Amino acid sequence: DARAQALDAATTRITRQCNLCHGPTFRSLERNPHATLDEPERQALTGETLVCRNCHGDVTEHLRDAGRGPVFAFRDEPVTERNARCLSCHGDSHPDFDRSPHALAGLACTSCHEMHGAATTTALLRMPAEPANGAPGAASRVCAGCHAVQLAEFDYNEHHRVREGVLECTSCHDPHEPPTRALLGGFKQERCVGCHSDKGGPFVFEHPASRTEGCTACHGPHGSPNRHMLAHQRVGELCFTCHAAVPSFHAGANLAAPPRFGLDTQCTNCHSAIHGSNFDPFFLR
Amino acid sequence: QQQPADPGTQSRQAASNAGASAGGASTLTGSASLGARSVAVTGTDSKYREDVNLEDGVRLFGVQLRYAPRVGEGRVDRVELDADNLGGDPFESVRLDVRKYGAYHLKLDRRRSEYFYDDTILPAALASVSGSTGGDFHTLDFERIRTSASLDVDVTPATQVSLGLERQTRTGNSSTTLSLERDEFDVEKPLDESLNALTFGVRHAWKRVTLIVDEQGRDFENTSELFLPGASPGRNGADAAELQFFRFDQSYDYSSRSHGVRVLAEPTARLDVAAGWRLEDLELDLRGDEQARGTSAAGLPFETSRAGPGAVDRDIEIADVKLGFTATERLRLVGTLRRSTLEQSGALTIGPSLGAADWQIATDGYELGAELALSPAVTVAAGRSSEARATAYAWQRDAVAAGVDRSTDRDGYFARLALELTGGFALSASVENNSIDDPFTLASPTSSVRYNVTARRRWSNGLALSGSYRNTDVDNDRSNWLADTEQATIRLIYQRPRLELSAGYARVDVARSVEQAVAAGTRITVFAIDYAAASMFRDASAYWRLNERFSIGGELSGYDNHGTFRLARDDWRAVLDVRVGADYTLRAVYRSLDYAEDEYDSYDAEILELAFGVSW
Repeated sequence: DARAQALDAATTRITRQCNLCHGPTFRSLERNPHATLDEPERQALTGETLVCRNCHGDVTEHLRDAGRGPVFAFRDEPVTERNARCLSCHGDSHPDFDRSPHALAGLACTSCHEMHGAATTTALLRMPAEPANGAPGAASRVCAGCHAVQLAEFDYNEHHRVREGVLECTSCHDPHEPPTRALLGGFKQERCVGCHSDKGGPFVFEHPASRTEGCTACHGPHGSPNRHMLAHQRVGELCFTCHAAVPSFHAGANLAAPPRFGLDTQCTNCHSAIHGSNFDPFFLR
Repeated sequence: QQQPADPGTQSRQAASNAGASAGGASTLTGSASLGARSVAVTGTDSKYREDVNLEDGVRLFGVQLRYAPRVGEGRVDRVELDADNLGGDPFESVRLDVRKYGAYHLKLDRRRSEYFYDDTILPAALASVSGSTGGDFHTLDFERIRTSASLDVDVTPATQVSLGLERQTRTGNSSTTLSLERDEFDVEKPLDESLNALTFGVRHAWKRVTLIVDEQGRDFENTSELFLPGASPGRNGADAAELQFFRFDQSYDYSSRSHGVRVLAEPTARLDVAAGWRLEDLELDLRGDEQARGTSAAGLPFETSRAGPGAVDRDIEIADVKLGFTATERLRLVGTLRRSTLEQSGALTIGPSLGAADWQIATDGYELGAELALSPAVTVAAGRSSEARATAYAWQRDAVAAGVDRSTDRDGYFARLALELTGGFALSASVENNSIDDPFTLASPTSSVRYNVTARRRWSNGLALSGSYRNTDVDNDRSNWLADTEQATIRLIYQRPRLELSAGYARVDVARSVEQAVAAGTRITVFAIDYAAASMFRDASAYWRLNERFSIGGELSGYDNHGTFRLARDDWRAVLDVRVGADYTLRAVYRSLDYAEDEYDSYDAEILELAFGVSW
């Protein structure tokens, strides 16, 4: 229709002018999702008419001064402004980004994502130029650029399989959201039981520490030198950090002898259904 | 561990992508690598299987396919296919991604992983059945498969419909221990569980308001059976207790339905509001059926046969309201109010025995924050958060009943600084502090403080240096429980067109301690718990493209754990790539692993892989 033709003509005009100096950048947009901004229906929705101006603002002065005039370049502007430009379209899919630790740490969307260029990764991730030393997934490689310690934790002998490519950092964390503990309002284990369904129950009798404090009360989420990614290698040592009272028979009949159970006790040999049980409040089966 | 990408293939793909962008023509690029592996392991084989688990055989190490039609043509803009480690490796993945920008996005993903565990942990000298220090007698040998599919369709630019399917299965074998008649018995526990999930969502955007509605259904089944393979005198052969027969069917299944609504609005150009509500209703049915025959601890024959049903009903409701206000172009204020509730009740009847338990958890919280861009290079942020959680838990099993009511309040603040200077230097620093009243356990913090600093400098000659430091101090002032963690990393990278060098070091120090007075009846024993682990990770890698035909590379990674549980692992590999013509590559990889725990398990492994690669 006439409106679509007018929009198309305007796009062509600005394309020609930007293309004079920014040819490679413009051509790279051919394979980029942002090229869909060119569609008249989408422009009608957003109220914008020109591809470049959608993100880079008014380019009039920039053009008038042969490229020396100001333009919003996503480089010299405050981070809050840069992110606001992206979120003006992507706010629907990332409504909580400005409450996320990434936003509050001063990161820009462009710290992790490319705006231009052919889409060579999902979500236009800005792949780090340097090798990532074993972080296989695209998203994990981006994360490892800043979170090197967390990546190192996947080198523990007991670890979630991120280096093996089964999991990505984003399998558990949403980089655009507030921390998981806040997101889930206290039901912290929900992310874990997304895969570990058998540990999540619900059970008639739940391990209270797991229900209230989450899986990380006992387990290291990235990795651990200890069996089953536990916080302690000796299970008794872990259990006694919380359990300051146990039934009297745990002491043993001879009070003059050492207690029957100690820090080397493998409590889970009896309390084998430690994550929860449908039959026994003491998790014996 | 993942193989390093073939440098030749990487270069070729980069060139293909660049060419596609420049010309706008249809492109089909890809690579495949097929080969064989030989593995030699000495030492504790079960530990190798738990840790690495690569075996001999022919493997399809990787397939990568990228298709993009001529710009503006066709019903797709991009097709991606990735498949890794097929043909019997413990970690397989296949991914297909098909997309037409502004029209649809189809994703298929399948991941299979094997898990193995058979490790008694403790040395025989510490074994004692009466003290249950004989070791960890649980074993696991199963495979987990997760398959998912999702389709997002842009019905119009303003309306998007999403459909998601997911299936997870876990099948295999495991064994566990059963405490019966004051003895321990090893019983089999076959694993057969499946989860099916279906998600449907609609998103519609008006000028200033977006509405998102989604529905999710999950169905889970678990056969969960325990049985004794034959008769057993128990781990303590000296006592009278023994079992001639034991079988316990404890299968269960649940259905969960979740409904969510979210409204995003921009009443003014400076103000945005998001309000969400979610309700999940889960209903679980279970059945217990126990059949046992044997001799009791008192030396008397016994036989039990009891069965009965049970059920659990759980409702979770989460509601939140979020506000964002752009005060100026450089100052942004955010706030969140949140309320969540969990109500759960479960009951069972098995033979003459009755059991029941109820949970009520209500959590209310808020967060306030401000982000200020002092300049394009400097951003600061600060905020505070507060949460009040009321927990009520009560259970009953026949004549025994107990419960707990607890109100836990948390108050915290955070401050962050981000610095991004010219010349490739970036620095960020943050501090977080939380104070908690009346936490649920004696090893839950009453206070926690975390400091974090990261810095990075990049030079134009390809050199980059980065480092980070994090300190987390957590303590419980009721039990005097302390948990301190220090983490530090440093990494140096040098990258030239034909040469890539990287070296890194990370250290994680963990200390947890408490002198716990444990009451067993009238007897009080003080356990001095003092866990300390210092973990040091070091790695180095080098890749050198000698010429158009030969590339060589190597990686070395080492890990030492000192303190309470000492172990060391060295893992190094050498890679040789030979280009044959423009499209073929021969690769040889030699890997050596040396794993040793003080007192417990150790193994050495040598792995040789030969692969033929083709790219197009």
